[in-house]
Formats: sequence, structure tokens, C-alpha cells
Amino acid sequence: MTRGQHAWSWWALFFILLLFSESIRSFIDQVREDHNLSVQGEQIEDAPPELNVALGMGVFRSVIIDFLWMRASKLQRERRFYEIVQLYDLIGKLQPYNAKVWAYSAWNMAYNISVVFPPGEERWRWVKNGLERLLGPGLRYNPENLSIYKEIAWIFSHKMGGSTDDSHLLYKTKFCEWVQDIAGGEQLNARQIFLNLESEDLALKENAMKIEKRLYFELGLELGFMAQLENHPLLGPLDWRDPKAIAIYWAQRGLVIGNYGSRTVDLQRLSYQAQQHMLRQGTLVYLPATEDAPSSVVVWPDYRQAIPIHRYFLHQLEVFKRERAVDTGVRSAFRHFLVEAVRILILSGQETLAEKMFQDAKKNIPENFSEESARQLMDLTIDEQISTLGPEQFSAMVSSVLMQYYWWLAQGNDKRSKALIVHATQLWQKNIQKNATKERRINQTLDDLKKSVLKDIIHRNLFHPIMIAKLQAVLDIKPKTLETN
Amino acid sequence: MKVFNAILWDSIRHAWRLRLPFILIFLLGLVLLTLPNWVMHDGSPEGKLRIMMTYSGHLQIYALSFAALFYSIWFEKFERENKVNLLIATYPVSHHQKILARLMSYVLILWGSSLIFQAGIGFLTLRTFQQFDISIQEKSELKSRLLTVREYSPLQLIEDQDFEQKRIERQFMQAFPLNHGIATGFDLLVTPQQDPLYLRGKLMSLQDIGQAQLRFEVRHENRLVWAAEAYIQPSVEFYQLLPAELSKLSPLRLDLIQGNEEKKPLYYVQAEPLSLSRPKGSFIGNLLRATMLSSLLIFTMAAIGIFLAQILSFQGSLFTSLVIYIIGSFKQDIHELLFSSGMPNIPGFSTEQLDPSTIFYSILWKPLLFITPDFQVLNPTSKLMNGEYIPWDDFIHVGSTTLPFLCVTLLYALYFLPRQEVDKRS
Repeated sequence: MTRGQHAWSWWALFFILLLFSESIRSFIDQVREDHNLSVQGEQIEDAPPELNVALGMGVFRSVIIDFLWMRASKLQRERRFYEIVQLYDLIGKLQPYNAKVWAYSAWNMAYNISVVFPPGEERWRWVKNGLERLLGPGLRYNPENLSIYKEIAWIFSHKMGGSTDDSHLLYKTKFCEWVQDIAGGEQLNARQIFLNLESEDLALKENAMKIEKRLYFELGLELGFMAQLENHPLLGPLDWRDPKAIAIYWAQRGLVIGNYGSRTVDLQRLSYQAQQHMLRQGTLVYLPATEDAPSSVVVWPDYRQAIPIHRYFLHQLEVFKRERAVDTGVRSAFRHFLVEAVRILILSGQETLAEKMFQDAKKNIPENFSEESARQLMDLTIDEQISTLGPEQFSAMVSSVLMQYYWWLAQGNDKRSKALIVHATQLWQKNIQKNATKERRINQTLDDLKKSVLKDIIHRNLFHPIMIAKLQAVLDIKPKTLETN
Repeated sequence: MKVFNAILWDSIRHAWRLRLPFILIFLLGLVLLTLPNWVMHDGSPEGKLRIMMTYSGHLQIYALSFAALFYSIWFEKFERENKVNLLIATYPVSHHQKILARLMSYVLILWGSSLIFQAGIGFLTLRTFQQFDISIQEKSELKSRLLTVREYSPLQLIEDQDFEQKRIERQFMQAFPLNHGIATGFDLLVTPQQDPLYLRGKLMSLQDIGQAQLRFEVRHENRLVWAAEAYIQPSVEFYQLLPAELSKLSPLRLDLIQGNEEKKPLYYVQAEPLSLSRPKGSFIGNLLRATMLSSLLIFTMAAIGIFLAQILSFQGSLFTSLVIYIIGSFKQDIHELLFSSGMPNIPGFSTEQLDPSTIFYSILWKPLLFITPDFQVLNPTSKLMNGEYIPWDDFIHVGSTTLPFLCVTLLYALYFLPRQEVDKRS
């Protein structure tokens, strides 16, 4: 073969390969588009520099990404976590518009890596690292992708706001301290700070601007939107120190801004679940560190959340009625909610409000409420609950009510403490009546149980030292007095 | 020996004239200045230090390997193409003396450059300590944690009296899918000597399930010594007291096996052997072994360079040696990428792998894997930076994979090439 013929055969091969690559190009482009892997037009301008470098490598970008994933998963298996943040950041920046990558890496850090460490600060650091992936680059490159909002709301609501993690109280404490620090050591009132932005008082205005800036740059929160949510008729009072309130923020934010990537109903559910969770655990009491104990938070039910949820159910019933849709599910959910809400309201000293809500519900769906009053609804559910309890379990239940009673007594909330002691007395009566005919009669009195609970609280440090001191001051007692008793 | 030393210093002088150490120091210095601003860490001072040390260590090794290649190829090509001998010798020297002395000089020059680089890392370490608000006591604890050489071994009951903690708790978290996607976590509480041995665990349920059936097996030197089956409620702490006699056995390994409804193990959970860290050796000893390994790397790279430079052009030698280096450094990763079952559920990760039964695998890839030196073992950065013990076994591994490569190339350069040159001249 001459030199010329040799060159022609190479050219022929070149054209065959070119034609072949062209024939499969449309298929490859479609796959890239489906997974948001291609970078086009305006996206290039905002793209991270790492991506610009990688784009120059053409198809080798995916090989590099695969290598990075492999290294990250190998390091995770070997528990060398210090490099994971860097690797996930690179992986994300090489495909910044693939929201699943950000969501996965954040979830992995917050859920899988954090729990490898023993309960404590290190866990919190990993939850924070996960959140930072989403709140920073995740949102920046995918501002309209609902799955990013969903993941943020989920971490705030479930990981930090829930109680499945052993360190959930630490997360709540750390987050509470963070927000308090931003707000200048107090609870954050977004509406007031938003108004202060227009204030003529320069000091107030400057402080408000500082808070607005920190909220945005540290937590990604927009003050104006927070203020709007505080005024929302279907959302309750929002304590921004509570991760569940932040979960509501991100779910609502996603519903306003997002338009693809996940179902909107998922975000609506997340917002509603966080609200219901706040009804059970929405009152957040922050206790600063003392010489004997670190700072911590204690969570109690927040009866105020019952009002917007109740309003939401009434609204839903109207919607179903108007659309003539089957509303059995809503009715049943409404009853379930009211059973819980009535109990929380009555035990919070809000019996009038509980009664009003019960009557409103009964008026709308009488067939679901055969009870005459809110108190009767509560009694029936409690009777149902206690019917299976043995005497020891019963005492434990009353002890828990008494513990709450002492807490609110120390806190100086007379309405709540009074409601709780009435409830404890009624429960005790039921206990005596239930066991009156049995061989093992109850010889202990409620006063004995009260003393024993109080002794436990003080001697076994069941409360934070600050609360124990408050309780001793309110009851005018000293530990020694209890010992002699 | 005098001849050897003369060639050694002559080669070092040539390298100095080539400004090779300056270029290296400049490049590594650039890395040191940019690295702290570029890397992201987990937020802890320890994490920041480790990642900076690991990355700079890796970069150092890569830079040294590349420099060794470049330098050796350039030297050989320059002498051959210009038909000159850069060595000014007034005494007859043999070819193997020349090659061996030059190899030694590469190691010396490159290590000289990297010492300056190490000083830079020390400076960065100090700066990192200053950046984080940590007390002097914490600093010394951190330092000892960073420098402790640990050996990861199957669970060993602590007999070492020097251990500060009386009670050692080693967390064992193993995420594995049961029927509905569950992650579990188990701790094995080990208490030294007379204290009992506890198995403590918590099943973290990601979905609503009633309970999970698990089988626990404790093995001693792969022999089953205790087993139990338990139904565990999600999110409820599980405690199991193990028989007292087990605490006398060492090492112990815990395996978790998922049972299905028919009480047959559905699949074996790949449980990482429980490990306790125990001090072994000193940091200096480890550093010495690491230095030996990386010197061997430079030596091997230079030998490959000299060998290739005899038979290929400058560009060809450089390209071929780089290909060998990349395959040797990442062969396990490339193999996993091409032939493993992939990583499902990881977004953006391609899951389509090649079939290991193809001709490509058996004719090309498998022999390539076999003949390329294992440069991963020769790069001790990760082990050194993670405070892991570098075993002498690594040298045996190197002996079986890299040394044949080194010997063949050296022997070829030493005996065959001089004759070839003589033949050509004649």
C-alpha cells in the first residue's frame, strides 16, 4: 500500500466514525437533558469555575464524576469523613443543575454520616454540613427545583425538629442559640424587624439590616417572606428558633418559587406535618448554660397551633363541599386532630377555646362527634387509653403529668399548672375507682406521689438546674426538707 | 564507592543547573498558598488539618513522581541525542555505576525539595491552629490524635493498662437494607477484664415497620462462639448481655445477619469488623517507612523513565510512562469503574459496566493489571495522614508487584543497552 492509499483509509475511517457519532448524538443529548446534565445559555455565566474547566474535558467530565463518587463512597466506608465535604462539593459543582446530587449529598451527610459519631457536637456539625450544601450551592444553581426545598424542609422538620435522633435536643439547642445570636439574644420577631427596616430610628434600622443580612447569608432566609408567613391566616405563631418553623418556611418558599423537580403536594404535606408537630412540641424553652449543666432546650405542646389547623380543616371541608367531593378522609382526620388538640388545649388551661373549637367542628360535621362537650371528648379518649393500663403504668402516667405540673409551676404559668394538677387529680380518682374492687388496692395517696415526683426532680436532676432553683423558690423548699420528709 | 559518589554529586549539580529543585519548590509553594483557600473541610480543626495534609501530601507525591520521570527521561535523551556524556569523568566508569548513581541522585534531589515543602505544611498547620479558637490543652490532644499511629484490627479486648479510658465504647454503625429500607446502628460495649460485655443497639426505621428479626453472631478467629436471634422494635434501645467467658477471648468479631420469615439468613450483612484503636509503633517509625516507600516510588519512576528513554522518543517516553503511572496509581478504581456492579441510587453515577467475560478483559485488561506496578501502595500519604500504621507487609506487596518491574527495566538498561550501543557504534 502506498503512502497516499494509507492516508485515504484513515480518512475513510474518520468519516465513518464521525457519521456514527452523529447518529447517536441526539439520543445522548436527550438523556443529558432529562437529567439536567447539559449546561446551556445563561447557565454557563453563573456556572462554578470547576464546571467550566470540566466542560473543556468533554466526555471525561462523567469519568471524573464517577471517580469522585467512588472515592467518596470508599472514604465513607473507611470512615474518613473529613474529605467528604470537599468531594461532594466537587461532584455537585461538576453537575450543578442536577438537584438530586445536592439532595443526596446533603441527606447522606445529615442522616448517614452524622449518626456514625457518638451523640454530640460532631453530629451537629454533619447535619449543618448537609444543610449548607442545600442552602448554598444547591439553591443557588437550582432555585426553582422543588426537590431542594423538600430536602431542606425535611431535614429541618424530621432530623432536627423530630425526635428520632439521639441528639435531637442538641440540634434544637444549637439552632436556637444560632437564631438567638442573630436576633441579638432574644426570640426573633420577623414582622417587627421587617417594620424596623423602615424605621426613622437609625439604631433600630441598622440593627434590623444587620439581622436581615445575617438571616439571608447564614440561613438563606428572607426577612420579608418570614414576616409574610407570620401573618398567614393558616399558619400559627412561628417561633423561628424552632427548626419546625424553618421547615414550614422552606416548604412555603418552595411552593411560591419552585415549579419542577417534585410534587407540590409533598411540600404542602411537609408544611402541615411540621405544623401538627408544633402543636405537640412547639413551645420551645431555652435554658442557658450554668456551672453544673450545659445549655439546653425543652419542648412542650404549643396550643396556639390548634387555631390555624382548625381553621385549615374548616376551610378544607368548605372546599370539598363546594366541589361536591367525598370528604370522609378529611372528616376523619379532623376528628383525630381535634381529639389531640382538645386534650392539649385543656391541659394548657384553655378549656373555653377547646369548647369553642369542638362546637364549631360539631356544627360542621355532627355525625363525627357524638360527644356533648370538649371535656367529654377528652374524658372518653383518656378512659379508652387507661383501660389497658396496670397500676404501675397508671402511676407512671400520673407522675408524668405531675412532672409537667411542677415544670409550669416553676415557670410561673399558673393557668397551665392549675389545669395539669386538676388533670392529675382526676386521673388519680379514676385509678382508685378502677382498682377499688381488685385485690391490689392503691394505698398510696396523690400527695405521696407528688412528694416522690418532687424528690426525684430535685435529687435526680430531672430538670435543668435553673428550673430546679426556680421550683425551690416557688415552693419555698430546700432539698434537705424533702430528705427529712 | 568514590566513583559512585562522584557521579552522584555530578548528577545533583546538573539538576541544580537545570533549576529542577527551584521549579518543584515553586510549584509546591503555589499549591501551599492556594490550597487553604480552595479546600472545603468538615468544619473541625482536625478535619481541616487532615485534608490539607492529605491533599498536599498527594500533590507532593505526584509532583515528585512526575519530576523523577521528566528528569530521568530528559537526561537520557539529551545524552543520547547530542551524543555527549554530561558526566565529566576522568576515570573510567561502568554503565551500571552511572545509572545507579543517577537514580540515587534523583531521590536525593527530590527529597531535598520536598523537605522545604514539608516546612511549608508545618507553617500551615500552625496557622490552622491559630485560626480555630482552641485551648492549649485541646491543641496538644489534637496533635497527639493526629500523630497517633493506629492499627485497625478486629475487635481486641483491651489488655493495655495504659489506656486512659476505663470503659471503651466503639460505635458500630452499619447501614444496610432490611425488607423496607432500614438503617441500623449497634454499639458493642466492651469493658476491660472482669466487666461484662454488652451488645447495645438501636434499629433506626426509615419507614413504618413493626419489628425486624436479626441474628447476631460473635466469632473468635472465624469460629462461631455465640449466636442469638432477636426481634427488635424500631427506635427502641436493645441490650444484650454477652456471656462472661467471651471477654477472655480476643479478637472478637460481630456479624449481623438478617433473618427472613422462614428464619433463613436472607443475606449476609457485610459488617465491618469491630475495631478498637490501640497504639502501635511511633509516628517517627511510620514516617520512616512512608519515606522509604515514597523513595522507592521515585526510584521506580526514574528507572521506568531511563528504560523508556532508551527505546522511545522524548514525548513517547513521557506519554508511555505517564500512562503506566496513571494505571498503576488508579488501577483498582479503574477496574471498579469498568467492571463492578456500579453504585445504584447515586445520582449522576453511570451504572453501565463492562462484562468481565469479554476478550477485552481477559486479553488486555487483566494482563495490564498484572504487569503494572502498584503505585497505590507506594503512595503512603493517606495512611500517614490518617495516623494508620504502615505495615512492613506493604514492602512485601511492593516486592511482589513493583520490584520485578524495576529489576527488569534496570537489568535491561544496565546490560542490554550498553551492548546495543556498542553494537551500533561498531
